[in-house]
Amino acid sequence: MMHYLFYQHNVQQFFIRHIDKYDGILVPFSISASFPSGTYGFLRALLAKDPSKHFAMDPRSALFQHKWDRKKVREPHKKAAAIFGAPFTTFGVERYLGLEDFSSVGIIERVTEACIRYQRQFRMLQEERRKLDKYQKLLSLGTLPEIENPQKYIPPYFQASDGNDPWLEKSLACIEYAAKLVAPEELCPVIHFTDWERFDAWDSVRARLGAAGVLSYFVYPNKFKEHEASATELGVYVSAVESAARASFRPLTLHGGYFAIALQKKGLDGFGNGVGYGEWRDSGYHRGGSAEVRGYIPKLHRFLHAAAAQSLIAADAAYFTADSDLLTEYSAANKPLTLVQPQEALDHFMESRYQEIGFVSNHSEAEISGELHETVQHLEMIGELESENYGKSLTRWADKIAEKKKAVAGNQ
Amino acid sequence: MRESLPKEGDLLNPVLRLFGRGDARTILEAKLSRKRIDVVFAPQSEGQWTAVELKVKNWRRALWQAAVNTQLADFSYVALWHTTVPTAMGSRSLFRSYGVGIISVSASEASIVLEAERTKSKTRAQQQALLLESVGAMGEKDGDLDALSLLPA
Repeated sequence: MMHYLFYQHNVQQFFIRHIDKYDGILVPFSISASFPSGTYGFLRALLAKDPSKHFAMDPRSALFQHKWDRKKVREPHKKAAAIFGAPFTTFGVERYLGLEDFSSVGIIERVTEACIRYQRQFRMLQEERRKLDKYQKLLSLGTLPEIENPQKYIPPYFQASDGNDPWLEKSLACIEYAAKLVAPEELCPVIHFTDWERFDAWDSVRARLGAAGVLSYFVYPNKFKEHEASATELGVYVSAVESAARASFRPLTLHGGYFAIALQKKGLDGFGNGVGYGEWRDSGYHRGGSAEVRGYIPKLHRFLHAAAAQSLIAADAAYFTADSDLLTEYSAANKPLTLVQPQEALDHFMESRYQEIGFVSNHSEAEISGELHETVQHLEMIGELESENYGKSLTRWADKIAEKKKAVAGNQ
Repeated sequence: MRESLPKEGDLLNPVLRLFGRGDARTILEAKLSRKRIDVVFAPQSEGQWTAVELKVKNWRRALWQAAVNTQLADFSYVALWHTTVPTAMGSRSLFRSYGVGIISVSASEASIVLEAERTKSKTRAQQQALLLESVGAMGEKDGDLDALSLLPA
């Protein structure tokens, strides 16, 4: 299963330290456009260090489709918009983009071409030797070859509510045109939609992708929170993955957590997450800055703030620290988790994620489900509120993971 | 005629009067990792700490927050508007299982209807020291108490 990490320019050392624990990097346009030299220099050095690492650049074009206060447009927005050109630069930074902004002849082609051209050229940016030297030294590299790593190209994408939403047609048109610009197998478009239950267009989407020769794609339900998802939503998610795999497609999820990892068993080919966050994302989120550091609890497969994590560990330290050196050390030394430093928290998260991926790879669906049920039992022993607040999602996950694949393909 | 519900902030003064008679320092919105505790009464020197979560109606959510507050406070309470108290008291065994007490608040006064119980903690003393440190640091910044307020004892 491919594990992509979303690139953050402010934690470059993190990407080096954990280079063996992920398979690829996703770079948001807003970052590459705002910090082109730093992003390029660092990625070039990092990818030279491990030529097997994949990379892709996320256009995040749906941001401009959303309603948010354009008085809060910042430089990264303007720079990202500049990559696409009009109507992003003319209207997208002034107001939310509407379908009418993409109605003129040739506009989809122009925007898509600009988007793909930027991604292709990024790997060949000309940079000052001095900057490249800096990253070469940082990664202790003797030479700094050009980027030759596998790159996936992502066409512009927009959020659609269902199969009849005209925005879906715009996204598909972008994909179809992109397939004329690069080899279709190098494309990994994003199918971005409002929620799992309403989006009913998988058969028709795959028919269009297949006709264009595109076989792998990211699914991106907006603000989809695995821990809050109902059993129905999870069921639709599982079905969408299973039916894609049955049809020989390779679906990935753009923002996922442990449930996405577990869906490897159902045919999910990969997923992405941020560093210390990023199990879900609102494509209309326009504020910048780094996410606040939170503690990852491996047994719960979720982040908790330090006091809540401490409370849980105080109740059952043996079980809830078992999968983590950091939690074990703090617990053994009776140190409160509020003392955990941001760097420690990020390292701990990455270690945990790596273990989660390894666990799923090496265990059956029944065993994965069993481990979740075991955690639920521990929560029940601690108390009603722990069971209620942390256990319900794990039970829903466990049930879905243990369910046998449906024999009949639906429209999912 | 049904009494209209107050705002959460309206519960504060009766609670301050209930606990604020001693020499304890009162800390509003005390930071405990990413969460904030509505009110903390911290002794000037040795003594017990008390935390209070103010909530008009949602007692279950208040209980959950108060349960976490035991990481800092020796005694943890939820302060509820008096009309919500009977429902919460119906689940008193749940409150007891977390050692959390209940305060009933009306427009004029607050009273303890279920005593909090002190739960064991190996990290509480350090947590308290950390909060006092941050209070000290905030106190040194003139006029910058928006996140953490101190009321006179």
